Formats: sequence, C-alpha cells, structure tokens
Amino acid sequence: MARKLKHSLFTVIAQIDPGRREPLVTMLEAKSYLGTPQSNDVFAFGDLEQLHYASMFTYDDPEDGELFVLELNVDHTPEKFFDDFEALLDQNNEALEQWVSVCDHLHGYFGGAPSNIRRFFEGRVQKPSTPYVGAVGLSRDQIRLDQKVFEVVDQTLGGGANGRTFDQLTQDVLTNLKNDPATAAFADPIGDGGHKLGVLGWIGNGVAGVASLLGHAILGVINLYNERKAPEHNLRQNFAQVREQTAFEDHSPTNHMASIVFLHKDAARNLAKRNVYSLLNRAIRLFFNNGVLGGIETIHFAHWAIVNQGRRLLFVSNYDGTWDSYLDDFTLKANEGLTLAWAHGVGFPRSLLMVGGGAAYGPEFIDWARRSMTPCPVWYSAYPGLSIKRIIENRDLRRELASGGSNKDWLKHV
Amino acid sequence: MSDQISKALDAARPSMQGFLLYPYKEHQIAGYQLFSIEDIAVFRDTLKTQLDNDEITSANWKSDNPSARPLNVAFTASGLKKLLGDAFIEESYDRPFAEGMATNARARKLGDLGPNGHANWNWGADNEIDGVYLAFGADRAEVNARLGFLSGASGISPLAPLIVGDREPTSPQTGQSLEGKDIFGFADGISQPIIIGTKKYAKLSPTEKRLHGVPAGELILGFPDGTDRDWENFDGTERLPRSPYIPREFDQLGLLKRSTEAEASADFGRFGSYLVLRQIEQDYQGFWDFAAANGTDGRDKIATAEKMVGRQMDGNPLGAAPGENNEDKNGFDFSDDVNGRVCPLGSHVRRANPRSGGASGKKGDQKLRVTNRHRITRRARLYVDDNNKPGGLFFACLNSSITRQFEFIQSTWCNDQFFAGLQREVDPIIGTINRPPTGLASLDRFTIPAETCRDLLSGLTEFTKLKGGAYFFIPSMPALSVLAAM
Repeated sequence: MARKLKHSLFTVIAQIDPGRREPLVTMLEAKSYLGTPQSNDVFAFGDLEQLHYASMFTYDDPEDGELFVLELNVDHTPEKFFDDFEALLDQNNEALEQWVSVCDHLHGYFGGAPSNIRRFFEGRVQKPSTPYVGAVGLSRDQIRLDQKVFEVVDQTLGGGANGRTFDQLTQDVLTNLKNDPATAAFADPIGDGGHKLGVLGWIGNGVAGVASLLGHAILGVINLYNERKAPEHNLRQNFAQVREQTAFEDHSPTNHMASIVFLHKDAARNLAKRNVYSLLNRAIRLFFNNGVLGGIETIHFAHWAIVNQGRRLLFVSNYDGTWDSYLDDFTLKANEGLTLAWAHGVGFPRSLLMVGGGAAYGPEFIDWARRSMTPCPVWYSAYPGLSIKRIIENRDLRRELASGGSNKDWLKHV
Repeated sequence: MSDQISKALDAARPSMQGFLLYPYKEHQIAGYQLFSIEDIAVFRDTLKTQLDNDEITSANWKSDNPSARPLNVAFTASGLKKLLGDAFIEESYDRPFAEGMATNARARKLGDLGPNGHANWNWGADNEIDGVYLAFGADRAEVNARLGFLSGASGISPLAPLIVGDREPTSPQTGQSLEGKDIFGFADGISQPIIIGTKKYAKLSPTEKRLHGVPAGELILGFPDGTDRDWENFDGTERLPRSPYIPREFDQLGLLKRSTEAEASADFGRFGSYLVLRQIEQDYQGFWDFAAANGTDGRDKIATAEKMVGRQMDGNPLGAAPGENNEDKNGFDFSDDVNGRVCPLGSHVRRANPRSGGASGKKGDQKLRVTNRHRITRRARLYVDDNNKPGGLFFACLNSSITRQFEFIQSTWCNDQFFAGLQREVDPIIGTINRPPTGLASLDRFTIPAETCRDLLSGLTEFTKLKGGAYFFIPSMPALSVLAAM
C-alpha cells in the first residue's frame, strides 16, 4: 500500500480593494467554470495535479468589508500545493495573466511575479476547524485511474455475461486491464493511503472524543439560558437572492455550496464552538471515514472554518445532486450533526443543548441556510461526472482485482 | 389518537376541494381547461356565483350531492398575483410554485432539457397560465356542459384546447382497454400514500401501513406533516407545515384562520395543496421496439420492458409468480432485493419510490420514513385526442411542498445519474437522456443486475416526452371565497 495520503482543505480569504467587488464578480462570472469538461479552464486548475475541487466567490461582510474567497481541496499539504501552483504560473503565461487579473482586485497585492501571488495567497490561508473528506486516502490521480479501471471492466463485461463463466469474465477483465496502457499498473496503487484508522488512531481519537463529549455536556448546560433566549430569524428564503445562486447550480450532477453565517461571540459560546468542532473532528475520523457522513453518501469535500477573528462560520461543500436534496438529506438524516455544527449561528432555529431542535425543523433550517449562501461563479472539479459513491466503489473494485479477483466480490462493484 | 386526525379531516371536508381526496374515478372523462384571467372583476363574479351555487365540488360531495358532475379550480402564481394583488406575498409560497415550472434553473434541476425542454412544450413554457379548471363527467358532453360558463362573460379565456383525460380509452395498438394502465400497457397508479387516520388507512395491513402511511400534512396544508416525530398521534400542539399567508386585512369576511407563522396574517393555504400538472407523451412503438431489440435468450421483450419499468405488466411486483393474482400489489420494500437482481436499482418503479432502499429492520424503517417524506398523491389519467386516441399520460399530483416532494422525486431519484450508486443512467421511462452537451458521458444506459454479472442495455432514448407543465395551488373553499370577495 502506498504511503498514507492526507488531504488539505483550506481557503484563501483576502480583502477586496474598495469599489472593486463588482468588477471582480463580473470578471469571474465571465470565466465561469462549472465543473464540466466543456467549460473553459482559463485558470488551468486541471494542470494542478494535486487539486480535487476548487472554487472562487466573494461576499460582503457588514463588519469586515468585501472579501474574496478561494477554496482549495488538495492532496498533501498547502505548501506542496503552492509549490506546484507557483511552478505552473512560471510556465503558463496565459494562466498567470488570469490569476494576476484576479489578484489585481485584492487589497495588499502589489503585482509582480508568480512568487508574489503565491506569497499573497499563502499568507492568507485559513485552515478549517472541521474538514470532511469523502474519499479518504485517495489522491486525484488514483481516483482518475480507478475510474479508468472501471471503464475497462465495464467495456469488458459489455452487454452482459453472454454465457461467459465467472472465471472467464475475471480472466478477460484482468487481461484487458494489463493490456491497456492506462490501466496496466492497476495493481500498484499510486495514491491510495487507505481509509481505516489504526489502533493508536482509535485510542487517541476515542479519548479525545469522549473528553469533547463531556465538555459539550457541561458547556451545553452553561449555555442553555442564552441558547434558549437567542432570537431565531425564522425568515423564508429571499427569492431574488436564491435566483442569483441557482444560476450557478445544476450545470453538472455535482454541485457546490458556500455559506457564511454570523456567530454568537460570548465567552461560553466561544469555548463551546471550539469544543464542538473538536468533537465533530473525532466523530469524522472514527466513524465517517468511508464516503458516508451521518447517512449522507453525497459529499466529496466539505469544511467548516471559523473565520474573521472568530465572528463568522464559513462552510463550503462539494456534493452530488441538487442543493434541495442535499439539504433535505441533511435535515432528515443528520439533523443532530447539523445542529452541533451550526447552533452557534445567529438566527439559527431554536436548539436545545446545541444538539436537539435546530436543524430538525427542516424548512426553517433550509431557509436559514439559503439566506447564508453566496453565489459561486467559479467552480472546478477534477473528475466531473463521478459521484463519491462511484469513487468508493471504484476503489474497492480496483482493490479486489489487484488481489487477483478470485472471489466474486469485484463483481459487486460494477 | 389517530381518530383525532380522522375527526379533524372530516371536519375539514366541506372546506377542501374534492380533488384533494378524490380522483373522481366514477367519472370516465376529465377535462383540464387551462386559462388566463382577462378581467379580474368579472372573474371574481364568476367565482362568487360558482361558490354561491355550490358548483365548486368540495371533499364532502358524496354526502352533499353525489350525482353532481365535479368541478374544481386551481391557480398558478401568476393567477394568484392577479387575484390577490398586494396580498400576494411571494415568499410565503413554496419557491417552485412562486417562480413557475418553466425557468432555466428549474429545467436543469428537473431534467426538462433537450427533447423534454420548454421549446418542445405545447403549453406552459412561458409560465403564461393563470389557472386550470378540472371538470369531470360521463362523457365529453357532460364535461363541456360543466365548463359551459366559459362561453359567457367569465373574465377568463381558455389557453390551449381543452385537454381530455379518459379513465379507460382503447389502445390503438392492441385494441384493448387501457383502464388502470399506461399507454405501454403497464398497470399504473398502484402506489399511493395513504393518510394516517383515514378509514382507508384503518383497513390496510400492518405492512401496507408501514410502507404507505403518511401524515395528512404531507399532502394537505393545515395538518401536521412528517416533521413531527409521532406520525400516528395528533393532539393539536404540533408545528404545522409552512403555508401561504396574506395580510389579515384582505380577509374582510374573516373566513381564514390566523397564520401561525407570520404576524397580522391569515393562513391562505390551510386545507389547500400544491398541484403539479405535466403532459407526458408516450412513444409506444419506440418503447416496444427497444425492448424487442434488447432481449437475450433468457429475457424476451416483455421481461426486458418489465425490468425497465420495475413491475410486471399486470402490476404484480417483479419476482411474484406470473399471473399470480396478488391482492396486495404494493406490499414490498426491496429489503429482500438489496442488489436489484429482482427489481433493478435504476428501474422506474424503484426510482420513483425507493421505499426502504434495500435496507431491513430498524435501518429499513428509518429509510422508509425518510422516503415517505417525499410521497405524492397521484391523480393521472391518459389524455386522448379528438378521436379518443390516447397519446400519453396527463400526470397530476398533489403535495404540500413541491420542493420536497414532486421536485425531489423528479430530480434526486428519477433524473439523478448517480442514483443508488449507478453511473451515466437515468430513469429509463421518464428520464431525460439526450441533454445539451456538457462533455460528460452519455446517459443512454440501463443496468440490470443479474446472477453472474450485470446486463447492460445501451442506446436508450426518451420513450416519453414532456409536452407541457405548470405548478398550481388548489385553494380551500374559504380561500376561494376570499379571492371572490376581494
């Protein structure tokens, strides 16, 4: 097995120069890249071999002014990503021009070489409080290779078994995989770090998780009065705002969501916030490391980040299906988790001990979430048309075949 | 207790339009007259006369006047905007209703693209419709008589010719009656949600109750919906689902209840529901030619077609003994067919209602409960031309949230190319296969899980095509009175 591969999920958040948000948005919209192969990848996202998903959007914060956000979901570390990014800009003048034209709208950017853009971005990296990865341990190239394996298998099976026995099918598949240069090395994982937690991981995360859970119970009681008194927004969606957002949705079967909410700021809440994201982190590592988050099987990459000096919660997500079904799934299957993650948001539907109520009131939560969103004009997927469920199936298919495919299990994955 | 629901429903009957509870199967012919409102004042008079003379059929019609020919009316957002004026509070409605069915963003979501795109619709593409009258009778003459008021000064003018629905037309291809069937010859309309607490629900087997019982508020506004944890009991303290409201001063006669959501507002939606209409043309020849060309030694054209639909032609579940007269054709949940070897994962029936999704036990119950937050009451009929030749399905459904129910089924189940872990395929009966190019792979596949390995059909095309559609609200009788009196 390849070396354990880690993903990094983060954003770059930069102040927009006064009066420059509108031209920046207009420019981004004109370069809109909506995650389909036919879109025009002017930013050369596709040349960054560590990059899975990326997005660019802006929002107007009443206290912090107009902000630009670049979201990146990559293999390895941000540092390694920026090495590649800088190298790309060194070689690709057209892409450099595009990135310069974005940075020209941003406060504190003084122009110049690729290394300046790199420094500008790297200095503004915001790491999430809670990252979630669907395909734990899989690199971008592994995911693409696994899909090629699936395609070769699919072609080999053709319309069906057509009288071939299981052994013949396995033989045909293995031969075709070896004969196809794209899949010849299918048995040697290039970036499958495995998704299972080791014993030490279980112990470490388990102990930390129990501590966070206890912390949550204590802080829940301390916060109870404020929690029950906090005003709910209880507002319906703003249709004009939603229309701006849906213009960038459903162009591909995978979609993107960006949301920013105001956070309550008192001291007890601040403690509870930090504690709850630690709790969610442990739960994700222990239980939600194989493509399913609390019953939801559609999330590729998502993260919650406390930004703007602890005053805002940024949530970005790359998910399969439509926004309405995503949120519906969330409120019907995982409302306790949602309430844990968002109960400190101003205007959140009334919760109890930061885990009950809240998101369980589906429509109220859904409308609150819609109001917190900002349109996302630029969005990139390294493997459009591939669901997270298929990615996991493909991984298992390749693993079964790599071990000889002698039991029938590989057929379960096609 | 559930008889409290039953009492509450009975008490609400005179206030509900009959179509909410009845498909009016006693009447062979239905007429769907789409209209635009030309003169608001004159139309208010028309509506008032109809209400005063009890011509709009309530859900109490069986006791009131069982022999009358039913007439119901529903409005689009554009119609309600005209009638309510300043009292139309857009955001109080479900967003798809307020925006209309034919928007670009919605077309992408629903798959109303390519052959199903607005450009090919006969009606609804410009969101130009204000409302629809639904009239029922033994024949066309009775339906026309019921709609006779349209020839006078009614304040509305018909948009598109009358669409005629027939409960039992004759198939031009087979010469047989299509009663209870679609054009392809498959039994249709079998699976319906049943409101918990009704007499019909009380008669169901425990299995059917588990599979098909839904709280009244899922289908009719003004009752608790499935948000409530306890679906069987109802004590009046539950949160009610969101319902359209108007400022209270517009309810001059005080006919409406106070809105539980917005201050100084009256609940306009109570005892109403959202109505979805879609005209779906069916290509009999194309469908059967494809099935015939894609059989195998062990699977003839009927078996292939049944795999695509997900039921036997006579409505029996796949896997039931052929010809077996199952009284209960709907008592299955796929828990014994996790991999879809009996009923393919991507078949129409499995996509349109995945039930427990193959899970069993407690997990199955949980999944079933989530699935049942997405049910719709179906009221479809086959539509026929002037020579009584059936052309396809006039799909009609009722739900209290178009977003969570109709649109969810259409986008997340039927037209989702990732459904149940599948890839590059959509519903083989109602999915949109030929979409505008995006560079993504074609969706013309259908997977049939089988013993050794899956069979794969390819080269599918649309065997049904959308010819029109719109979202309506079917108001309560008191809400109609408010519209007439403003």
